Amino acid sequence: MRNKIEINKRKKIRAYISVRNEILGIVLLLPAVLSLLIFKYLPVAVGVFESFFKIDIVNLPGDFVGLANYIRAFTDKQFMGSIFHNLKAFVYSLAMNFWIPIVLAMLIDEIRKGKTLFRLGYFIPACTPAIAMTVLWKYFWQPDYGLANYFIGLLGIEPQLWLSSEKLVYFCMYFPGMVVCGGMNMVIYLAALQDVPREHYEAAIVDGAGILQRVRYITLPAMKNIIVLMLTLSIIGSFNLMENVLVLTGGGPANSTQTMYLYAYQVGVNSMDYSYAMAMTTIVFVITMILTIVFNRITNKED
Amino acid sequence: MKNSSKRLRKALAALLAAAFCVPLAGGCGKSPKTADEEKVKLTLWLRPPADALEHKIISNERMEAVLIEKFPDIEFDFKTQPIGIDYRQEYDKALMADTAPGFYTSFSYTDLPSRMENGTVADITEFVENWDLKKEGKVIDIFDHAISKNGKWYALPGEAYTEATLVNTKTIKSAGMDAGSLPKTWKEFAEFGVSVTDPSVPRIGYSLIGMDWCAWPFTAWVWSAGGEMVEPNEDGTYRVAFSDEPAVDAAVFLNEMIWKYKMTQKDVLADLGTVHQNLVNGTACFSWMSLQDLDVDELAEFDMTMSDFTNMAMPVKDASIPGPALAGGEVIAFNPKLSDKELETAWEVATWLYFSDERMQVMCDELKEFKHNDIKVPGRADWYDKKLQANVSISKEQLESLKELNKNAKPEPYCPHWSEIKSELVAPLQKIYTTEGITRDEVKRLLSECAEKIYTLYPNEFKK
Amino acid sequence: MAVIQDVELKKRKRPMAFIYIILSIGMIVQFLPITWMFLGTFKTNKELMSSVPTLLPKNWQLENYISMFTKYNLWQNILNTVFICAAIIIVQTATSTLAAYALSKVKPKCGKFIYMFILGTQMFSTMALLFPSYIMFVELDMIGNRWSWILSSSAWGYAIVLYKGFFDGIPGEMIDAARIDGAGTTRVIFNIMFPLTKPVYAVCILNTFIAVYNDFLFPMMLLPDSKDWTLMMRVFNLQKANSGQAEMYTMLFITCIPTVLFYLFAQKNIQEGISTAGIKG
Repeated sequence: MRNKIEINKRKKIRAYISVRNEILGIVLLLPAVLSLLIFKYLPVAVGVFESFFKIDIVNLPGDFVGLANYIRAFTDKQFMGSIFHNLKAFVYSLAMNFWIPIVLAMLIDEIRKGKTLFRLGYFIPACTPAIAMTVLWKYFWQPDYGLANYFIGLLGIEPQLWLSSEKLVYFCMYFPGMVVCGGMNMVIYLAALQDVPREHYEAAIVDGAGILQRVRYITLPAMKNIIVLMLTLSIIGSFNLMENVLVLTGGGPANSTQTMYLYAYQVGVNSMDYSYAMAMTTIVFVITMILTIVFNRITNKED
Repeated sequence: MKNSSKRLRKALAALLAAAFCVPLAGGCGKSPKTADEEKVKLTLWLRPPADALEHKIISNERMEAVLIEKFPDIEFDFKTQPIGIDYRQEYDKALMADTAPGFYTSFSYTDLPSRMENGTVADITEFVENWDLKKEGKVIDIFDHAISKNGKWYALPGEAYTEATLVNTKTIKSAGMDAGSLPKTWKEFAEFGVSVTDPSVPRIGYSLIGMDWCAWPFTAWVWSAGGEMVEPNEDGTYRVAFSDEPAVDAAVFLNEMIWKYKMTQKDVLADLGTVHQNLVNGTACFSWMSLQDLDVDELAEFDMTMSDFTNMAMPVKDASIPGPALAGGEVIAFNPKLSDKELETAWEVATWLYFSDERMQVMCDELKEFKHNDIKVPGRADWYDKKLQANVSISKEQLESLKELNKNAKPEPYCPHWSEIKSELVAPLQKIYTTEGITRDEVKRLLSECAEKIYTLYPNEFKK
Repeated sequence: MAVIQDVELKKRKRPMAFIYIILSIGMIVQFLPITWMFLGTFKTNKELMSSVPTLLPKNWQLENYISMFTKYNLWQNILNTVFICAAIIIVQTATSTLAAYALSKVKPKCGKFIYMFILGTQMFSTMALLFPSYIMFVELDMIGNRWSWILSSSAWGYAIVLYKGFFDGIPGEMIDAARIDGAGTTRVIFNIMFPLTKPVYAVCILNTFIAVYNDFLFPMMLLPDSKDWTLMMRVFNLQKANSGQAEMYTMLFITCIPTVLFYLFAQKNIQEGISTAGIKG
């Protein structure tokens, strides 16, 4: 009898505790969930909603037009063309920027003395605000008095248009990343390098593997996960590319750097067609979402 | 446990308060302001930014004081026009947020056709029809075709101006050329440009605009080749004319100026600000613009005076074409969200500010007082001469050159979607400007492609 | 001390010397742009625009700094920047810590669903939120209110995910032990969770700071009035208005100072934080 009461009591206490726990959890989660709901999910919902309308600034949301904005986006040559600008940007960033921090991290990892000095030396200059550096480089590329034309002039090369040239503009966009190449990415790779098991190298030396072979067969495979992850971020980044381009070229010359988001932005700003702009941002958003999910799948499988 | 949850609750309450109540309180704080029934509220975006020239700030301070005195029944809210990302967009954004000014003075009249359609400017027909000044013929009427439609009125005329070629005679003299005989035709212009250009000084012939406003000066270049940008059809639609031969000539000539004669700045996609700088700091001899874009105080920074500059018509393809200039201007549009009473108030203030004899006199007096220059045509046509005379910093000859320019001035096209056409033209024009040795056929192809795009984009307004 | 082993170094010195040379040259290159900018702040516009550039200013003059601060209301911009950054960091750290703690240790039944809900926000880019946020804040009557930006930016799912990951690593026994000693939730968070995950906090706060400090498009939309502007918004506007090069260099240099200082101070924590958090993040 007493035992039963005891059990009942315990059950009650347990139930009480679990209810308390639930409440506590919900209360703790509430501020974050609410703010994410209001400031992230709600705007996206507003954007999707508005993209089915033809916006009327005076009386929001305007007339319902169904899928008209989406059909317009898919038949808009300029928007479709801008996808290739995003891809082009990605290829350039891969060729000119992506691999440098990896190599740099490996080199810094090799040295025995002055590691901290080099790490800081490469880290600090890259901490400067991105837009500030973009503006600075804009002056370097200026064709009339910029440093770029001065330097190639010393080598006897004809002055170039740089940012105003369709051929060179992507090069100019990613060249700064080659010059100032350290920063966060380098530190991340450096951290990843610490996890490579040292004994593998010793074993490799015994087997007579050269330096490059050791990099090829030990270091890179061990860093594979982080490299794939950074690659994913880099792809998503190039689909989200916009602020940098806006400041550097404004989408020019002749729209050759107009990325998807930039085009949407300019449609919104210049012709105040928010609803069409939002239809386009929704499309880009869906593309990046699919990309993220696909890459997450791939990386998870490998794990 | 009990203790902790109390503390937790406290912490959470504080957090929630911080995260949600503060903005709400801030938001609510606005509305319960006891609405004074007597006073009508009027927001004005006329205050110059803090870094504006001093005389503008002083003149505005006086104006605000006079307004408050003159209209005691109005509660004024003087604001600086937000710079934002694009000035027109700031108006639209404010309109959405209900913070737009009572009237807005920065729209070009070419913006109006699209705005009349989308309802972002108020219908002011009943006021305009009962406006005595207009009946007396004292208000400039050059914008009437653009600000009215089907017997309805949507804006007041603002100030009008002409743009063509602005000449820096000081720079020309420093190049050892005669500033008295300026080039008239393209051929002369190119020869002149080549002989003044010297990159080591640096000195260039013509500073050209290649940014996303490039279709604006291009219009004048097309006219100078005897062509048109758009032409009206008989049925009220328009024909795209910027792919015709004259326009192709103009585009080819612009390309030759850059690549064949090398008489422009190398930064061919320069924006308006850079071009302006090039001219006032003495790098460029010619550029797109007009005397009214110069400011005495700004010139002083570069050791220049107003007398170093003069207006010139666009150089023409052959001497038979009269040298054109492009007339433009701003209009005063009203906020469509105003109530009837507010609209009436806004109308009163706007007409008093820009059309009353009192204000016109103040404008002339201040021009003299600050030795400032403003040669735009005011809304009151009958005050134009007095205003010109008040420009003490501008010489008689310069005023003559201005009047000469006005003779052949043509208004900027005001067909529907003109702004969109201008933005569509940016890409082909930039391609033409940046391609060295582009062929005529290629230029023609680029412009025709753009024309085709206009026809497909706006099939109702544009027909071949 | 990895690919090349110490044993080898004794035999062959050349590869190591080669690495040092490359790294040294590279490091000098890193500082070139910023040095040029710094020297430019003392030059005049004319000097900067001459066809033959000079490395050192002809006359060292502070004119640009003076004009920056007198011409534009730069102090206001700086104060705004400090206020906005601080507010966002505080609100964000507080909300995400609580949420992460709940997900990791309290584990309510809806936890899994909420975790997915939070993960989902990571896919939203600023551009997708730009115009709709404006419309939303118009409806809320919060345009021109700085809290519109603060609250939007402090809602960041990544921080919660990151913190949760590290709270998971803290053994539950430690918390239980503290509980027995009479510690409440707040104390558990402050005395156990926080100190143990300090580097992660450093990285997260730093990321937030950089994101907020560099942001200009989103706030430009919400805060059109120049009295609310931060430094970066001022930079964006100055470069658009095409003010002189010397002035611009000065402005850029001023904006670089806070970030570099921030990195230098938090340097140690960041290194540590990245080596633990960076890989998973």
